[in-house]
Amino acid sequence: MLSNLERLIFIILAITSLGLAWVTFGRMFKAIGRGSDPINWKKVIKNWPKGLAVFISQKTLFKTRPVIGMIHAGVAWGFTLYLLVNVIDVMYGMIPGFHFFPHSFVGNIYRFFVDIFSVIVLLGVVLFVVRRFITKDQKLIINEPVLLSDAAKKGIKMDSLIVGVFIILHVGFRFIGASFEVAINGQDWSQPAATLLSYSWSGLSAQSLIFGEHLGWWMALGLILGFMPYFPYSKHAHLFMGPINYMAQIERKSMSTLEIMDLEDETTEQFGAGKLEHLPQKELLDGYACIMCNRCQDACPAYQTGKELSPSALEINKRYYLNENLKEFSEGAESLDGLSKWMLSEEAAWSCTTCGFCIEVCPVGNEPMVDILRMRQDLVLMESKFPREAMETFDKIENYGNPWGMAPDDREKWTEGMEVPKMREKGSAEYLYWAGCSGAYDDRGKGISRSVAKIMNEAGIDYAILGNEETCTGDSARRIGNEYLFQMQATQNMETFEKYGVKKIVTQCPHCLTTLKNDYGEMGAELEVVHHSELISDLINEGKISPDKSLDEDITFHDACYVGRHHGEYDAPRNVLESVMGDNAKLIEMPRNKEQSFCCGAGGGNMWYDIDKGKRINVERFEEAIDTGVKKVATSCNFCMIMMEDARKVTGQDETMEVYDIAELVAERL
Amino acid sequence: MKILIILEDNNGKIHRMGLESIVAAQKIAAGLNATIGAVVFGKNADALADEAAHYKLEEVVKIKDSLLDNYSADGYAEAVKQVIEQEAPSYVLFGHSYQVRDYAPKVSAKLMKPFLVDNVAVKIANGKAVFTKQMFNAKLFSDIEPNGDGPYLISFQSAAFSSEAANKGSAVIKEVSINLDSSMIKTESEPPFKEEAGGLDLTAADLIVSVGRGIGKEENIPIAQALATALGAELASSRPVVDAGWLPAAHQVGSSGQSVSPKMYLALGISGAIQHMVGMKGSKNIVAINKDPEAPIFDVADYGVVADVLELVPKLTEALQ
Repeated sequence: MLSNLERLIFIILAITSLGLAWVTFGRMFKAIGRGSDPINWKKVIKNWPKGLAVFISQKTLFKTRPVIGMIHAGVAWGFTLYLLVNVIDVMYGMIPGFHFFPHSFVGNIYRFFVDIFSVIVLLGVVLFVVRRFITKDQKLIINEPVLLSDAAKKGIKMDSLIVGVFIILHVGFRFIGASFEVAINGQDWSQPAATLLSYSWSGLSAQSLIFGEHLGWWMALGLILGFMPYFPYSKHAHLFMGPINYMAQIERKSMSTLEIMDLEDETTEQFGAGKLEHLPQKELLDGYACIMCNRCQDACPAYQTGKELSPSALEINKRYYLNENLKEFSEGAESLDGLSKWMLSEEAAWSCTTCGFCIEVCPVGNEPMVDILRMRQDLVLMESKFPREAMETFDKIENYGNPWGMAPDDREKWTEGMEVPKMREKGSAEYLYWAGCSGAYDDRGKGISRSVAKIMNEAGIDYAILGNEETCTGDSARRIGNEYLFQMQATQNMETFEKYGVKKIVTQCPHCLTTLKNDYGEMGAELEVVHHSELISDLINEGKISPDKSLDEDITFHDACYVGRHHGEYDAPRNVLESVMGDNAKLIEMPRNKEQSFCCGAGGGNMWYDIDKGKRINVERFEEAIDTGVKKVATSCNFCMIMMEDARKVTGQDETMEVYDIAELVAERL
Repeated sequence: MKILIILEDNNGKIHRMGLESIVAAQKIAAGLNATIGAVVFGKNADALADEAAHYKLEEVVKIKDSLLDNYSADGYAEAVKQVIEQEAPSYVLFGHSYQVRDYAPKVSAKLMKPFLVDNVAVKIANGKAVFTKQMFNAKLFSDIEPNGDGPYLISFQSAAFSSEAANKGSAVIKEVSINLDSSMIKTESEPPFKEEAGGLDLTAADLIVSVGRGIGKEENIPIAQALATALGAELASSRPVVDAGWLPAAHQVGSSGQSVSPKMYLALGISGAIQHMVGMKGSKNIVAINKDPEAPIFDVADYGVVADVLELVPKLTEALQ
């Protein structure tokens, strides 16, 4: 189609563009390469089906905001098609006489899809631009008091504008070019939209039509050439970095289970992440995959209650820091000391409840929570900066083996007046029943432990407790970042397990569950750990216990993050609830439930210190329960219980509503 | 025999813990027939010396050196080491303040003499001073009698003695000089840490009146405040009261608030959930008022009243007034 001169110009521009892109893409990958834990690129490439599946299905977009997700899918599929379109268009321009399967079935199908998707992409992107710049959707805004770098504040808008305009012009001019081509060659109903547009050109001379077609071609492909070197600086990079991020995902035993630190290694000079280059390469890649959609921020219990934390701001700050310092950083310059100065404030880091909602909803597989856990390790182990109350918690775990600071000799007091076998007397048992610290010391927790024991007694389970030989698993210590204390606790408990040949553990504490199963697993323990909801659900299904179906009021269920998102169990506690509910009672779900359950506010060590900003997370959650209209709330976690009980008082529902553990509901009906 | 007290500057006045160590020194001096010297230095040395001279001491040792104007662990440790060498005391007493925690171990290391930290009492037995220290998180007390050659460096826990018990008198001020040069000081201190505005140090309170959700509503908080005022007590609360916004977070006692151990903790309408209990169970006397006779607070209370807080407290306040 093109003249010889045009071809020459195109070749020169293409070489220049590719050359510049080579430099900028190189910088991007070198910057990622500055991270601490190398990405295994061979493995990433092997994972291509995973990336392709996410890319083609767009399934991660629909978890939240399904409508926006659908529009995005249209744009994404259209854009994928455009990869092919651009190649064919280059051939059409550069090879004299080239037409893609002219007047054949294959060619018509191709032209039809390109035509339709051009319109879909244009409409979609216009909608996106309207949503960001005209209707100003609040979801796209990061509110005070979140730390957002100046570069990010400016960059988010600018970048969105550039990407939006680029897509509209690129696809728009391609589409206009196609309409001129139709005008030249006569109507083509395999391209209905372009044909319709071609009628606008009816009065133009043949010369003008040819000019129009050339203009369309040049603008569409010229923009690509112009945009290519800018790609790594633009959030548009998510279109390949997103799928690559999925392919590079690190398999963890649970979303909060980090690698075990080698504390004996005397050559280690850094624990956790205090600077950008301390983060693993995968987590630098996260910054490039982020499209700044703020789905994580929508989910985050800290952000939603007005704290300083926004998981997306973390990734966005990371990204703009990289953009601003890309050349120097990729060439090996040290990054600014202290991630808390520019990526995520200290208070924000302590506001994270490690609920994992941000990871759950991220369409591109980012893990901001993991960054936060690494930052905390640096703050605790390197900088010794953490909430004062956390220090007391460390002391209490270290000295008393429980975060309450209660006497270790009182740990098995909850068993007084009932038959609960002890390992030291029994020697061994099929199940170790792990009551955990709150199950041993908190008044309500003790009641839950007695309920669990009663159920196991009734079902004839071969079990025993460690009693006073039990000590804190170290969950809070590890999530706060005190790896040293965690490993001390873990080592002690693992020795006790060894002594009694413990293989299977049942516990009502989801935090103990995750820690024993995954974190101890990471340390080499081979334990089968189940939540009490799972055991009780099995016992009911097997007919070993049959509680009365005497709960005759509607009830709602609050999912614990560490049973749900961290452990993947949503059905067992609901089965248990069903087993006690009479015909008139229904389980009324809160709007945020199961995978998208909203945290009680106690996880990640937040049980032990308060971030005095914004609304209380437990109150926010309890109000959601109030709004269902039911008067009974069920939980399956001791921390959730304490938080919900407190919120019940704060919201003035002392007299009207009640909170139960699922085990209590079953035990009192046996 | 000579006892040396190292006094600390608190904005131109003697730090309370310094006064407390005067009490300790006077007690030892009486038992062992010893003389007492008090060491002052820093930019307020003159004012501190004048204040110290009004206590029953033999002498006040004043060091004037501009290198000691601002706190530095290196400078202070070197100065104290030199003054100990010059004065040759048997005992050197400190208040166990943050500064002392920082620099006194350096003095101990420089002199190669033991530093017996954070004592809560001293007594005289067989012509020697015996110091009492808490162990295992205050579960046990141990009596320690230093032996070997002095001087012994000793620090006392805050409030181990009442500063008001220090005997007044008069003392001679003598100025001594020491050898310091700036090359010895390799550390530099940042400005002293200040509690944030609205900060309330409940840990220092002798009497605490604490409110729980049993108070009913925010409008009833002044009822508890009135009792606290009548008693000269600080007002504290459980977490739900803070969460409801009835009191600022600084008032919160418990696992995510402050841990307190006052002489008396008066719990009004507090049920006694574990996260509150862990913050106050160390109180010397716990008095609980609660409607619910089953409330767990009664398990830890020394005295309990089953009553409606709103009825009882105003009467109690009135009686106290």
